[in-house]
Amino acid sequence: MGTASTRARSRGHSRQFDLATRIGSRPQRPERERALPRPAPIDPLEEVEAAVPEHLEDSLLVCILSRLLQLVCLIYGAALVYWIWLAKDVTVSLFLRDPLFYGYSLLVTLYCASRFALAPIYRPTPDRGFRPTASIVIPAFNEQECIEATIDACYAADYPADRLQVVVVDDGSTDQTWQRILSARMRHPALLCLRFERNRGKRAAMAEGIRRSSGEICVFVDSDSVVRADGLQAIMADFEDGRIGGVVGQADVLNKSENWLTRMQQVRYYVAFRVIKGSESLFGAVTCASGCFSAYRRPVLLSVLPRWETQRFLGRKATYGDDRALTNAVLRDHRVVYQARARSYTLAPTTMRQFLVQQLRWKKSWLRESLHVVRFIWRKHPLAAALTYMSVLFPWLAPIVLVHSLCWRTLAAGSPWFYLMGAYAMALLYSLYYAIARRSPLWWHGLSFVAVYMAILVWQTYYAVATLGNTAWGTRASVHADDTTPVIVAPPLVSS
Amino acid sequence: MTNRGLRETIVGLVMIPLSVVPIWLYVTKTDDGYLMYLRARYALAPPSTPRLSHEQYRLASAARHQREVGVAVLLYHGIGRTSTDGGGSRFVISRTRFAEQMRALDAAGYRAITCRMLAGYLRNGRSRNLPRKPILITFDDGRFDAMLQADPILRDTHLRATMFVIAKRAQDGALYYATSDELRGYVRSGRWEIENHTYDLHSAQQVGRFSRSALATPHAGETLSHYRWRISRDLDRAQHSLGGPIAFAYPFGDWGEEAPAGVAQVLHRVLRKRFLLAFDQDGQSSWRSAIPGDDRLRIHRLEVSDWTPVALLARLRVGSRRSAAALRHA
Repeated sequence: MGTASTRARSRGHSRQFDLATRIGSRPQRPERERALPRPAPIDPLEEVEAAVPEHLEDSLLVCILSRLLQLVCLIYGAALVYWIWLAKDVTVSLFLRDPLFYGYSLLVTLYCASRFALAPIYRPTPDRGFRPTASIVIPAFNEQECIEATIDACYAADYPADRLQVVVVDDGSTDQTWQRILSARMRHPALLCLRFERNRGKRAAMAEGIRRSSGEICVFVDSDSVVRADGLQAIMADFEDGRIGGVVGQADVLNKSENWLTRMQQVRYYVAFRVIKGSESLFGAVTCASGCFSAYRRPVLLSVLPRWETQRFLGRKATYGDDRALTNAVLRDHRVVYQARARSYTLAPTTMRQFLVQQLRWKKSWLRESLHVVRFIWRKHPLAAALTYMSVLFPWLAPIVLVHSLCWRTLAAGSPWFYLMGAYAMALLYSLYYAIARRSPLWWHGLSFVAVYMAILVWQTYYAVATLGNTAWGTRASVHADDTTPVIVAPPLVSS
Repeated sequence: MTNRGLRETIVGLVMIPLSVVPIWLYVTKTDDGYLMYLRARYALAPPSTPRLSHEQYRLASAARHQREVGVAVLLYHGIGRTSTDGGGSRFVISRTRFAEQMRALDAAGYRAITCRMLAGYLRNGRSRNLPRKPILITFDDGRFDAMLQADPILRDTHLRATMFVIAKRAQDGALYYATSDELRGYVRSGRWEIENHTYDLHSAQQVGRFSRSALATPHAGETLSHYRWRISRDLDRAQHSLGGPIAFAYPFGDWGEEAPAGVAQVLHRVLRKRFLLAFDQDGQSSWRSAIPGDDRLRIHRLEVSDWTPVALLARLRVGSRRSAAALRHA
């Protein structure tokens, strides 16, 4: 009785918002005040600690209630699994009658079950004090509001200062970003600042940053993401293993308390990371290291850089989905893993419109990159390959199956209730997993995610195909200057 | 902060029962859901078979020594709540009522027989191979709710039953009908025998303003020989998939009495070659037990509805008396 609905999958996690609107909760300062010297930038980490209650500061009552919630959800989930198991006879005979469509349902169920079964096996590599030289590369475009805070957050990271380099690349911003970067350089003299005279796109900015950086490991943090102070050392732990080319950290939603959309995305992020990336990581085959917080070995990056930077798709330069493309380029010959201890927080879209634009962009990059990933993933572990092939196949079939189940089956068999209930049960399991694993009262937002997924996101696959030609980012200009644009380099004031 | 944490936690807790609401609606408002509920109930904790009250038991066991003439054939359809059937309460009986009736039959000394035993009795007229008070309990349609709930009751009352199965629906495996696998399991228990209720002719067919049984209705312009070929093929498919039954039940009890001329005869000839017995559900008010000399292809069954155990025993008594009179008359 499985459905297409309950799959959490990670699309290309590339995002960049209009940063003027990104800090929705922070009041805009008036024009006059902005001209004055800025006060010491807000430490984003403080904001994080306030935004992410981790049961530490909760009262005893809340602790007891969350425990109770976890326990009840555990029993509830077990009962639900048992109930689904009882329906297996019916499902099997439905399968015999309609092998094509119920075969799909069974496969989806199998896929979800293996993902959820593999995920708990994942254990993050413990930090054994491995501290290679690291370069944090920050591409920035029109981010005067927060670029200084982002740079400060990098230097606030709990990492040996002599092994840390920060490279910021201003991608031809038209606002005060460059001035802000230079003012940050006054506080952090080791900062390496680069500037394109004209906007060349995020990929070019990242590539320039990678080329000019000097650390063994390049770390990427999206401009709308904040890394916890201990995140940087945590993400290095895996690089002790020479086979590993890339590591992706955990991302949670920074503004999860803002509205139902962000709460919903928090549940989705958790499953996308802990379950999808966690299970992929067991085989060293994470197919998307989200731009929120990821790290790669620099020599590996340099070897794939020309291909990645000049990637073309359907005769145009590929713009969005840089993170997924980079992961794929690295994954071909190296292992990419997930590190749950390396935690970051990212700003999720707060309006449906922004959310859909972002999802469509992820979908398009997923479409493009799945064409690459199917060509080499078979060389990885067979189980990882099978799961990846399934995850590539399912979104194509999901809309057809949904129409078939809800319309055709209803006309033929009289009622869609059995199918709908199956979908609901799967959605419940998805949400209960979050409640049990995270002991979180936000668990039920998983239900709304599945509803949104079935109502909108499933259909986006075809829409994305139809609009593949439109490569606009949605928040960025899509026309970029060519490679001849001069690069201005503001070297570090002191050499580190 | 803590306040918000507390509020969120409480909302999270409240959402647990709220999230059960769709499941609850599914179970209480839809047929599928009710059947899914029954599956869970019987898999986890099957309910115990209700017992007769002291008074009912006394009345039922008082009938133990009454002599029985002929074989009473009872007909049930579904067991459960009435909403599981569009036809209303005529085709469904509550589990408690069914259990009471079975308990009463047991207490009154009835022993359930098989179709083959009944066929033998009708053929040679000898009741030597029958128990002293024989009864044949039949169910039509192969409904899952009936088999699931009747089975433990039959076990507890030492009875057995005959299920007339619409073969195609058992193969299709809709929730509403017992699947072929489940049927095999019930046969293995020794409490059930599976008989023929057509392969796929258990449907209503519109003839002018009337709706008729598909089995007894030739298509428009169809010759009788083609009609004969068509129903023969259907019945043979059912025979094949059900493992060679020896008895047949007319869908809706319609043996072709209102069909165009010749149809009833063709049907009779088709059935005669394939079955020892065929059951209808005619003449409820004048119903009596089956006795030697009855048409073996038109055995009447008593449609049992929501009667008290005492009322059921009284109906059986009346049927037996009528059969005794018919025998004397013959």
